[in-house]
Amino acid sequence: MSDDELQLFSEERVSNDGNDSEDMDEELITPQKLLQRIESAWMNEKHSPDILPFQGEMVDLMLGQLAHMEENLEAIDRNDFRKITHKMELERIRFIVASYLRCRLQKLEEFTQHILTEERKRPPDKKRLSDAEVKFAEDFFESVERHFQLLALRHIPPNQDDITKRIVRPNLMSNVFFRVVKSCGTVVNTNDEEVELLEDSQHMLPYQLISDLIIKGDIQLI
Amino acid sequence: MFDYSRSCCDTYHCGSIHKIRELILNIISQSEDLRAVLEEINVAFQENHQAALQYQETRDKTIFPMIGYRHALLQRNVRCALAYLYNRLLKLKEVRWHLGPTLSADVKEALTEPEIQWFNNYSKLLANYMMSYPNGINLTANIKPPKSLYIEVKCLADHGKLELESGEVILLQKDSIHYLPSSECEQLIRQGILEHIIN
Amino acid sequence: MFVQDLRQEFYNLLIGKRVIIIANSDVDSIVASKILQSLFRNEQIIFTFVPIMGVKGLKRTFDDNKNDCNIFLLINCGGCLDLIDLLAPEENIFFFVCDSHRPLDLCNIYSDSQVRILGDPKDEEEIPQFDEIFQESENEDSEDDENSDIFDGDDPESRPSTNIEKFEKRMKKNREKREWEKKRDRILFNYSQNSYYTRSSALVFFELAWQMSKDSLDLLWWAIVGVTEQLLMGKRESSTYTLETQKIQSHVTRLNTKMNGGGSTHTSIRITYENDLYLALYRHWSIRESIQNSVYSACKMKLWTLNGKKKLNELLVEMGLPLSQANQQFNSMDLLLKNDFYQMIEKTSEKYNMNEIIYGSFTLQYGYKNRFSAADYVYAMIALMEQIEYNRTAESCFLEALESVSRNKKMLLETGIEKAKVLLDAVFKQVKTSLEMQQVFSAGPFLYLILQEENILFSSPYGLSMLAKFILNGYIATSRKRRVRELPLIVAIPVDSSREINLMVGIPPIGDDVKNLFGKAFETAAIKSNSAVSQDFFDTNVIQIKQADCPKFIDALTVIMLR
Repeated sequence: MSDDELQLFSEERVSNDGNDSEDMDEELITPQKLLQRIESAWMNEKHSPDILPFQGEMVDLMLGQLAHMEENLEAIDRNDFRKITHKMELERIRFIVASYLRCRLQKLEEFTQHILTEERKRPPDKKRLSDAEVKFAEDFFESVERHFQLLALRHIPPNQDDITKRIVRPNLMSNVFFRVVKSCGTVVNTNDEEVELLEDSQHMLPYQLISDLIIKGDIQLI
Repeated sequence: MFDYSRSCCDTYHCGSIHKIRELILNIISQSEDLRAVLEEINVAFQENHQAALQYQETRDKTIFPMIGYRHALLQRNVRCALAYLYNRLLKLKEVRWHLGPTLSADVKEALTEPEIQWFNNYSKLLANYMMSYPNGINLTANIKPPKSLYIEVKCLADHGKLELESGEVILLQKDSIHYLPSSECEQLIRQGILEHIIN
Repeated sequence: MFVQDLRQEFYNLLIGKRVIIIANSDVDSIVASKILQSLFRNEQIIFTFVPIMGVKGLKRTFDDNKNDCNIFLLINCGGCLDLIDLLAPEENIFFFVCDSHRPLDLCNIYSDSQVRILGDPKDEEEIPQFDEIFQESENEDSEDDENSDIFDGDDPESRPSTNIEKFEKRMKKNREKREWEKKRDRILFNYSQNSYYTRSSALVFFELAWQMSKDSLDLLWWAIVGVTEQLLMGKRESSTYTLETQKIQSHVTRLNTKMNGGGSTHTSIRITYENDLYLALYRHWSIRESIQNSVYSACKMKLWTLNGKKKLNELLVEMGLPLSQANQQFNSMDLLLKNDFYQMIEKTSEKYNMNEIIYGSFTLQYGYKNRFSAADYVYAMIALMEQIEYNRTAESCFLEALESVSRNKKMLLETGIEKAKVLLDAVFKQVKTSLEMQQVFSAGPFLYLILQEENILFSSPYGLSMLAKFILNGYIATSRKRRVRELPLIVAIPVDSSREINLMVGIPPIGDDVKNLFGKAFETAAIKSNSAVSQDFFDTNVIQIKQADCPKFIDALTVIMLR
């Protein structure tokens, strides 16, 4: 969003939800930053083979913003060309949010078993899925298994099907392009070379070696 | 695990596997063939079972290759059968994402009853997920990044009246051209009723 | 009423609203709609576009949409009919009419605000004054007063004289009224007797785009195609065409420089005005076929006769064009011959009495390979529009022709050119047959030709009109009588054998006068002879008539036109 648009709608300071407890610092971010964060989360999600932590708060905030901006737009005269540009912007943002959520759903559907088992292993503060996503994944898994049972597995001797053989795992060693946002030391790559991650440099490395850096936010997949 | 000798290759068994490979590419249900495959699995298992018992009696190691072969055959059949079913499910998923939560009659014909139930269940799962956001969010819309707010579309078939968000009512008749907001047309374009005209 | 400032009183009124565009099935309205659509896209004006073939289609579309939308834009249709009477619209519905057909219906001209005609009343020919046509009936009230006075008279002495005076007054009023009515009928008859065409609608919309600085070479090209169609189909005189092209030329130079900056590359789009030949599609055909199938050249050399063929060979020899080259596609000819072709024709045209084979026309060039003249576009679009087969409706053909005008749909245009070749070929063959078998008869005031067999290519207005024009020129070329030069021609062909319907078209005599009196004549003849006739097309010189009624219809027509 351009700065002009920020002026058109009141420059709101958007706050986190969960601001019930007073000891938590309210993190105020502008709509512009919010969009940037959502865009980077979207890019990361699209390019990484594994599922990343869910930016639920961002999504909720963004959806709230979209609804709010739509209300404002209703008030403007239909023929104003600014309305058209704003509407286009809204459509684009909606597309980004929808694409982000869809990408995650696709990963859930493809790597259901793997993601669920990994998720269960993780401690509560490092969870990557939202509650709704967990429910979706579990229900989906169950429905597919039930389907297989119904149509095939019940007709054959029970111990011939090894469910563990059917787990689909993402290729965590697949290479990804990324750009370094904040310099964070060195990484040893598969050829046993040391790669120094300086700010604003771009590299291509296997995902697994740098996955924690993505989550921390020090690098951005492109 | 087992080494099996290549000399004992039963042509009857090989035939079914080829057929299964063809079917994976086709959504038309060939349930008889699926049943045939499952039958094979059972038969092979029975034979292996017999052979194992036989081994226990005779300790004759020469039957090992055959057992090993049948085991591999079994596993492979299971895998192919499940792969076939799974691919059909993937196609059904595509149908849900592209065309919406209702199945048209010609698609229904090609599906078995459990598949139709799976489809409805999946629709429900998806809907629950989408509703978990405030005001619900429709993830099946906005599949492509929007190029412009309004697009020109040609109507390919009579579709009666369409009401826009702004209140206007458009009569969609075959061979007429309209200029409408792109968000309202997306669904109809995917259904094949409207065609996007690119200039 | 007339709307002169198109921008303020037409375009600006549409912004933010929804419009229904109804367009007639002709080339001019196709290109006009294309220009309009691109203008509307700029302002996000929501529109629905429906093509129609005739009056019934107009009524049907109106009825379908009248509840949902209150602004209708009619292109090349509806101007000559009383719209309010025909469609019975509600008070809140408006019509904008851009119709190149004339004469406009007087009720439309004098409508208060419901029917708005895009154009300048000063350009119109002699519109009768309002008072001469419409008169409020005040006479009847005063008559009643007079009658009641007769029985109310108090004064017995003055009664007899006032009675006579009143009686005389009444007689005088009746006489005046009758005279006024006779004058009105005469004026109406003169006004609507001849049908003709005015400026191309495409050009009107182009000028609107120009006013709003939204014009481009594409839009200009479409306007050029519309204007060229009017010339080729004999809808306007060549002198008017020349005047229009002069105005267009200034647009061409302005836009060429604007689009291409200073230096133009070979691949950029460019329109050039040059002297071109009246040889149909010659850049996409072989020379021989093009000369043979073009009206002007074929009739001057009488190419359907053996002599004619010999003459053609002579011409080719004189031009220095080997036969093998002449029979090849133009594009595959030797480069030198291709470049010299135009000069060769120019030199030899005088000897073969083809002085008017040259006319000023526009050519479109883009990319290395694409070079089309406006006439090519016209023929291609006609062929695309009229290829109505059993599984293709007229509307989808119209839409295909509409698509073919865009530059990125070149394949469609080339298909159209191929189909046009088939059409022109068929026209020539039919002309040859009809002239050899002497099927053209004279009914006195006009010539007529009645074909017996169905032919899908001539079953639509354009195809049949092209055939009629060719036949008329050919007949006059072969006939020795002087009188036939001034006769118009009627051609009829069966189009639906199961229902025994003929399509009939009447064209004016050759020459530059393009006023066509068949519209009114057909109407009157139909009434007089009690024939089953349907004058559904917006070009009133084309009608559908029952086969059995043809003879008596022609008799009635003869009687009318002898007067």
